[in-house]
This record gives sequence, structure tokens and C-alpha cells, in this order.
Amino acid sequence: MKRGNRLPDGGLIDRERQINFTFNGRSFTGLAGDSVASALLANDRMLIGRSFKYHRPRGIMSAGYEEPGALVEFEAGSASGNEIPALLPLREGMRVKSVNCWPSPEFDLGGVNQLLAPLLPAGFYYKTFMRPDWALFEPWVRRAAGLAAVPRAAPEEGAYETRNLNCDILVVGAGAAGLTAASIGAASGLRIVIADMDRQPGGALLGCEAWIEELPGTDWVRKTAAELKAADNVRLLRNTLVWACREQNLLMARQNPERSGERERNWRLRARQLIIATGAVERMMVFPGNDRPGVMLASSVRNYVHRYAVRPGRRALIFTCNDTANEAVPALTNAGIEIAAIVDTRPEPQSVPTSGIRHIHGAAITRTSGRKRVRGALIRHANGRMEQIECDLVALSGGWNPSLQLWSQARQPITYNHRTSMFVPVAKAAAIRCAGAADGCIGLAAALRSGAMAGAAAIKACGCRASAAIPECSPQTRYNAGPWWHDEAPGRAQNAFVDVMNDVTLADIHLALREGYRSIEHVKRYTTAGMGLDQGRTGNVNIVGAIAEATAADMETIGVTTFRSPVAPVSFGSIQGTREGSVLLPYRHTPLTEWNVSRGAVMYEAGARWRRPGYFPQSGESMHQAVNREAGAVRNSVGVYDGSPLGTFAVKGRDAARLLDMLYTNRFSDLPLHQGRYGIMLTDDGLILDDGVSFRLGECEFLMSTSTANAARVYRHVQKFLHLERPDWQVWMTDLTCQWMNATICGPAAREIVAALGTDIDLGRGKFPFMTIREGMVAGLPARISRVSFTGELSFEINVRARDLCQLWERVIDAGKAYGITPIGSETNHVLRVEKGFLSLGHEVDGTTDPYDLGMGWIMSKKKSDFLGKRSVSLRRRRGVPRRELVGLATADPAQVIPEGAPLTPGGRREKSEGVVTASVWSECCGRSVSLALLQDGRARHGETVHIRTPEEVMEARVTGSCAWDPQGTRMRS
Amino acid sequence: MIFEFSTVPRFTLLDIKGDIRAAERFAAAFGLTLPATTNSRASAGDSEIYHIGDSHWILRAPPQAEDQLPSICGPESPPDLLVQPVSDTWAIYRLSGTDKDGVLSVCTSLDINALPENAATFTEILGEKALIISRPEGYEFLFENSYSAFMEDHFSRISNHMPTRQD
Repeated sequence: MKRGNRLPDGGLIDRERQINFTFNGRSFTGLAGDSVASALLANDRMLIGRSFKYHRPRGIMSAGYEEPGALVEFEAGSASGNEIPALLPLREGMRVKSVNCWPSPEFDLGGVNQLLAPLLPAGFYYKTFMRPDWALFEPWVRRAAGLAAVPRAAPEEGAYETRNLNCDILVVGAGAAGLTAASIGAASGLRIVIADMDRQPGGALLGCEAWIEELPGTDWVRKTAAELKAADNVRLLRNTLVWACREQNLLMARQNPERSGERERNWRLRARQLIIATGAVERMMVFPGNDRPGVMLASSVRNYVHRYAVRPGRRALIFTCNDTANEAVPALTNAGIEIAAIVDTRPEPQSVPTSGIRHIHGAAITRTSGRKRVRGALIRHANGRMEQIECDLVALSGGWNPSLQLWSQARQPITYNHRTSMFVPVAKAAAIRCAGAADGCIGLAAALRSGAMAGAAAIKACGCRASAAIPECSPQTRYNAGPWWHDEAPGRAQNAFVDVMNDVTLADIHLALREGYRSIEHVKRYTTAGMGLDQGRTGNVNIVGAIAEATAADMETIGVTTFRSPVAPVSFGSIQGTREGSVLLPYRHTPLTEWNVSRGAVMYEAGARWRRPGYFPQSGESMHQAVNREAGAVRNSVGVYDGSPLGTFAVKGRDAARLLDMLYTNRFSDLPLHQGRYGIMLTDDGLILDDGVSFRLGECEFLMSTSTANAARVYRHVQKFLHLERPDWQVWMTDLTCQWMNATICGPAAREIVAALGTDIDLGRGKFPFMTIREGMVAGLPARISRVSFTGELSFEINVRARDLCQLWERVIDAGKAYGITPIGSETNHVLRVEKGFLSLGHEVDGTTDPYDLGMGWIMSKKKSDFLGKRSVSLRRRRGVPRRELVGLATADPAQVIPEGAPLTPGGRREKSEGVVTASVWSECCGRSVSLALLQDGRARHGETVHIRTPEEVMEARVTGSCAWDPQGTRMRS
Repeated sequence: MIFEFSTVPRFTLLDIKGDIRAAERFAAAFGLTLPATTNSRASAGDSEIYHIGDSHWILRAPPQAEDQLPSICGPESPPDLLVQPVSDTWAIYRLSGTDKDGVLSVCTSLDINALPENAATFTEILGEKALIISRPEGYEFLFENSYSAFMEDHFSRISNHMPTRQD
């Protein structure tokens, strides 16, 4: 029968409330106030899972987010990926299981990896599994890798959310230092937010006995927290782990609310001043077998005893190199844990030895024994004598590492303090400061003083006055660290773990050094040390120490690696918040969406988040059939489409014409009133950015159009030019894309349709020629009509206010019935423009082409002294490098449509491509497929047969001109 | 969560860019003076004007003011002022209720507590550009009409659970 480890009294738990949970399918009970880790320990579950690579037994080693040994995951509907059991509040009905073992942690088939350990050192995958082909081994190596499984579905219960919160002072950590800083801040009246990962404030005070202002530590915490709660200007976020620090004091925090219906919340916190009071993490000690279940951090053992009334073992061996481990002795002995000995690596006692406890100085543990739980340890005395000590608990204290992840993410400097053997922050004149143990202040008095100073400094930085009242506390043990990085015993380094989570041993570090990796960043990546979920919090400094000893380098010179966010696992769900389902991405609609959907249109995004109809299938039609029908209607009678999403801008000012002359490659300043001109806009690199038609509406006023997808980009491009290059120009630009929306009627019968709508605009060929604009009334609505054509047919783009579009559309459909008017979608527009050889963004305009490539040298003004991109085009062309040029392709099999994006290669051979198919469609009006391509020296190769290579076959096609329909443009100018 | 998110009927909206003196004269025709500070509004009767950028204002007037637009936005409009009707560009919504600040904390990173009473400022709401106007009863948002369906969809999903101050 398993023994229970719950102490009969004490602890910050509610013994009246029992909580039921399962672990690996077995039922257990815990108490309200337990974490999953404490509940497992209370039930004497020392073996929690198996390690990453070697599948070695793993147990709980710590009481916080630095946990290097034990991970769990939730079962079934609550599956969540890796979870740190010490951070999980125990809840009724929790179903928890081990990770990385099968069928159980007690008997794990993966344990065979321990026999293969000599073949699996650091970087083994660069050396093994290479022949005959890595691809043969990759599937099962990938299957073996990883820890917890990725959840297959969203959680059954609870919602995710992201929230924003602004404050004057953000305190991260509600331990002694953080609470002190927050209290001082509260008195100032500034907006204070204090965030702590635990469900209760107090930090290390929850796990130890201390006195502050004549109160037990936990009572002082309770009192201080109550005062903060009562203050209107203070907000306390519990269960909130700050996982990232971004620029300008933007921090991300993950909160696990205790309210039902909420799963996880991500806070985006912005603070004028940031105080990092995240404490320090106790260091592991490195010796063979230091990963065995039952090996724990000394402060964590104390924490479990004091906070959770759990006794993790019966007979403990304390192994230390500093005095703080002594603070654990009273708690352990009061809990009935026999202290077998305190093994101290320092040769001389630094403080008064605890009476009645055996102290062994100048000694070290050389290895532990036991299989799935520690049973004893072998000690090497200062004189070389070896002694085996029986124990079921080894409590380690290798020193302290200030938790500087957020400090490091904020790009603040860190230095090594030789006196304390810690990497500590270097204060800079920034809106960020550390406090307490995070600032290297080990000990309660130092933490309280540090918190008070940090709070006062932050208040002063906010422009307010503050007094730093420092709470009095009980005397604390001095730190007195004597650094000890690892055992010197030869031949056993392969079982001496420097990174317990990632199974990285001291031997791996030495291997990396032998293979020439000197930088700590390279050692990290080669060995994966510090790359686990715990980010190596308990072992990174040991690695630096090992490198320092092996290479005779200085700790400061070696330094630490850059800490990355997140500092602990955070779900994608909380980052995503409410953005899921239909609002995963933004979407935009024109007023016609409802009409389109009611007519069965297939809708999808067609640039800049606009949802547009792709085509309007009638009953039983395939897409191909629908598009053919729609295209035929436009070529033979009349079609109508919603062209509203095209970018539309009003441009006005004394320098409006100069602006357009500068933006476009051709001239606009000589444009007559109410006339339009097609223009191409280049980037600074002389490549095509966008195209569109601009009309002159007045002496200093133009109406500019852009492509749908590029509207915002063009606006930014123009604003950047005006603000940076021509701030003295008097010209302004307003986006009218959503103000004026249009129904574009296109086809031979277009003029009749517009006339049938009723208009005061003279539609006669001579009165309203191609590329002009008119204003007036259409169908009783104020309108602007422009004669432009994207389809190559006679077209009237009728622009009305957005509120009038539906009415106009209905009138157009009604007026067009006699002519068989057909609504058309984006797919049909694509076919029609390919037939005409008109360029399109994302196809022929792919970011690599200039107007000359597309046969549009005529649009490059020879008279303008300058325009954006002119010089770049000239420089590029001067090099004389062959260019890919726009051509048409007529496939040998006229029915064959080429996959868009297919490469053209010499002879169809598997060689470097000489071009790419940019568009290919079936053309009903041409009775064959029509394709466009960018082909090297294309214009000189008309009539030549070229080859298109696809995975299935090689196609032949003849190079032609790019326009397959009405090359003279007669129809659209009619 | 107690909040109300409702549409506001269309107003006459004019986007004004250009010379400040020309803008002053234009606003005076509506009985308005330009706001003294950026990201703020000035009111006169049923009309308001928002200073929302460098040489950039939005004027809001009752719907019937649109009848005047052809004369003030046509060819006779001042050459140093670009005045464009944008009544259809912007959709207007109102947020009120006891939990309005909590709702806003989900939608935007704007520091609500720092908003003055006469605030009119562009910000980002649910990832999209929006003009937020503080009112005694809550807030008004103006965002591009094309995003209306998306915004309404998103607001309907916002959590019904409001965190307490200490949670």
C-alpha cells in the first residue's frame, strides 16, 4: 500500500475540501489549495514521466515554473500540450497523465534509449542516420521526438480572450519585493498593476517561515494584498504569468482565470514604468544521477512542506554550496524528515552549523543510486574517502539564479557578479528596473529594501513624489555562495545532467567544446541545453561554469544566452483570443454581398480582404461552365460586375498634377478636364508597383484609381513620398474607395443598358469617348460614369454613393433583362483580361517586372525629367542583362490549359527555367486556350516553339503576341 | 457582461484636408471653430468637427446638411482645401453600458483612462483602423463601412465574463 505524504497539520490548504483527480487513469485525492505537483507528491507519486531523449525516469524537482523534470498533460477533451504541474491549481475532476512514456512511466518501452545512450550524444543526428538516406529514418525519429502530444481539437470548455491594460507602473511578481514596490506605488495614486503567476500573492514567502513587521510572512502578505485590493488605483492579476517583454514596456501575460467559462486570457500590458520582481531560481548541482526522482531543489522541498504540508521524503540528504540551504532544515525536521547530512562543497563552514545535524564540508555527491527513485548517494569526502548514505530525498542548493528572462528580452545588460556567483542585471537609465532576488538581492531584508527602492524610483520617474518605507523583517541567513559547477569524478559525466529537461549531460558540453564550439550560443544550440520548456533556468549557469573551467575563460566573457519569449508555455488560443471561426481574419463586403449570395455566387477573398463573387453558377454548372457562360455574355451581349473594391482616391491641391507626374511614369499634368489616362507606378527599385486610370476633375483635382489589393499600399507610398521628399508641396489625398461604389456594365450592349436606366449624360460615341468621365444622374441617383475597360469591351463604370449601389444594381439588372444581362465574377474578369493581354497584379506584375518587360515602353515618358523609379529602371537596363518579357502562348493542343506558374525550360528539360506562365485560361471566344508568360527575350522569339514543364508532362506552345482578342482595342473604344 | 453595441444612423460626414485658414473658414459655415488640440472635437449645435491629423479634420453634421454638399464640394470649392463627402465611407456604432470599458479592453490597446472628455482620435479596434469618440454615456466608433459585418460579428463573440479587479 502506498504511503501518504500529507502532514497532519500546517500548510496553506483547505483540509475541509477534498478534490478528486486522476493521474494516468488512477484516482487520487488532493485538497483545495494544492497544485497538481503537491497533490501528486502527497500521494507519493514520485515518478511522473520520462525524459525527452533517454526516457529516464523523471520526478518533480521544483515548486515553480523552473521545473526541469516533470511535465504532465491533460487527457482527452482538455488536451493542452505540456503543462508544468507546479503551476496547475488542482481542480475537481482533473484528468492528468504522464508525457513521453508508453505504456506507463513505470514501464516505458522508450527506456531502451538508455541502452542506446552512447549512440545518442549531443548532435548525434548530424552524424548518424545519414546513410543510405536521412529520409528513411526521419519519420520514426520525428515520431519519437517531442513530449506531450499536440491537441487534436479545441478544448471542450472555456473561451480564450485577449485583453489590453495600460498602467503607470507594472510590477511583475507579488513576492516580498513586488508587494513592497506595489504598496509604495499605491500610495502615490498612480495606476498600478501587479501580476503574479501564482493564485496567491506572496512568492517565496508562501514556502518559508519569516516575519515581516511582526507578522508571520503569510499574514503580512495577506494584509498587504488586502490593502492593495482596497485601493482603487491598484489592479492585482493573479494566476498571471508574464511571458514576454516587448519594446517600450509592452508585456504579454497569460492568465488562467478561476472563473468557469474562461480557459485562458492573454493580457497585453503597457506600462510607463516596469518593475521586474520575478525572484530567483535555485540552481541544480551537477553530478551523475542528479536527475533521479527524489532529487529536488532544497527551497522547493521547503515550499512543499510549508505551503502544502507535503513531505516529499522520509530521509533527506542536503547538498549545497551556500548557506541558504540551512533555512530548509527547520522546516524539514519539523515535518518529521530525518536529515541524514548536509554535504557542503565549501571547505570551511561559513555559518553556524545547525545543531544536531551532521555537516560534511569540502565534500560532494559523486552519484546517486536507485532506479525509479533515489535510494542513496555516494559521497566523496575532502580526504578522498567514499561513503554511501541512504536517503530517499536529495535536496540541492547550488546557488541562485536571478530570473532575468524579461530583463533580457528588454535588451538590458547582464553581468556576472563573482562575489555572489550570479548573473545580475546592470541598471541603466530605462523605464525598467529589477527588484528583490531578480536584482541579485538574496535574503528577505534585501528583497524588501530593494522593492521599496524600486517602487520609489518608478514613482519618481512618473513625475510623482514617494517615500520608500522599508518593512522590517526577521533576521535572515546570509548567502555566502561558493560556486561549484560540477563533480570532478572522471568517467561518469555522461550521467551528470546540466539540463534535466533536454537530457543534456556534462559529457555533451565537453563534446561540444572538443568539436570546436566555444560561444555559449553555439554550445546551447549544438547540445540543445537550455532549449527546453524550462529554458534551462536551473542549469544554464552550471553550463557557463563548466565551459569556464574547461576553457579557463571568464564567466563574464562567456556570458549567458539571450532569453526568448515565451518564458513558459502559452497557448495559441489565448494569443488569438476571440479571433476564430468567421473572424479569424478580417473581411470586407460591398453592399451587394447579400444579393450575390442570394444568387448563388461562390464568394471568396479577392484582395485587401474584400469578399467578392468568383462566379455565379446556375443549376448544375461547374465553375468552368459558369465562367464560359459569363465570358460569352460579356463578349456577345452584356455583363455587369461589382467593381467597388478598386482603390479610389481624390487628389487635390496646387501641386496635384506635379504629384501625379512624379508618381507615374507618364505625364498627367497635361491631361484635359474630364479626361483620363492609364498610368503605371514604380517602386524606388524601378519595378511595377501598381497601375490604374486617373481622371482630371478640375484644375487642381484628380480622381486616382489603384488596384484593389494595393490601395492601402499605394496610399502609404504616396504619403511617404509627400512627407519625406516633398513636405512643401500643397496636395492632399482622400480615400474614397468605400464612398463611391460602382456597377460596371460591359459588352456590346452596354450603352443601351445605361440609356435604359435613364440619365442626363450624353452617351453618344463622340460625346462620351473612351477614357473620359462624366457626372450626372443615372437611374435617378447622383453618379459619376467613367469609360474605362478591364475586359476589353465597351464599358461604363457607374459610380454612386455606397448607399445607392443596391438600388442601382437592381435597376441595371432590370434594364438589362432584355439583353440577357449576366452578372459576372472575378474568375470571368480574369479570363477576359487574359484574352486582352492586360496585366494583373500577382501575375504579370510579380515584383520583378518593369514596363519594358511587359512591352509597355511607350508609357515611360522620355520628356519628364524625373519620376519615381526612373533612375533604377535606367541603371538596370544599362547592364544589358537579358530580361523576361511578356508574351502570349498558344499551346500545341488548343484545348490544353497550362497550370499557372508552370516554368518554361529549354526543350522541357529539367534545367534552369527561362520563363514562367503567368496566366492561362480557356477562351470561349477564341475557341482555344490563351496563355500569358514571362519569357527570356520573349519579344524576339515570336513564332518559336517553347516548352512548359509540369510534374505530369511537358507541353509545347508557340510564342505569340500577348493580346488574343481585338488587338486594336476597337471594341472598348466604340 | 453588460454592454450595448448599436448602430448609429448615418450623419453627413466630410473629410477635410488642407490649409488651416481655409479649413477655419469652411468650418465657420457650419458654426464651428476648429478644435484647439489634436485628437479632440469641437461642437456647435448638432454639428461637430474632429481634428484627427496634420491638416486633417472630419466634420459631422445632421443628415440634411448633405443637400448643401454640391455647392461646397464642387468646382467652386477652395483650391487649398480638399473636402470630400465620406458619409457612406464610415459606419458609426455606439458602445455603452457598465462593462463598456471591459469590452473596449478586448478591442483596443488604446489607454481608455487617458482619454479626455472631448476625445476624437483614430486608433485600432479589433485590428482595424477606427475613429473613437468619447461621450458621456460611452463611446462612438467610426470604422470603414466595408468592415461592418466583420465588426458586428466580432463584437458578438466578446467574452461574457468580465474580470474583477483582483483575479
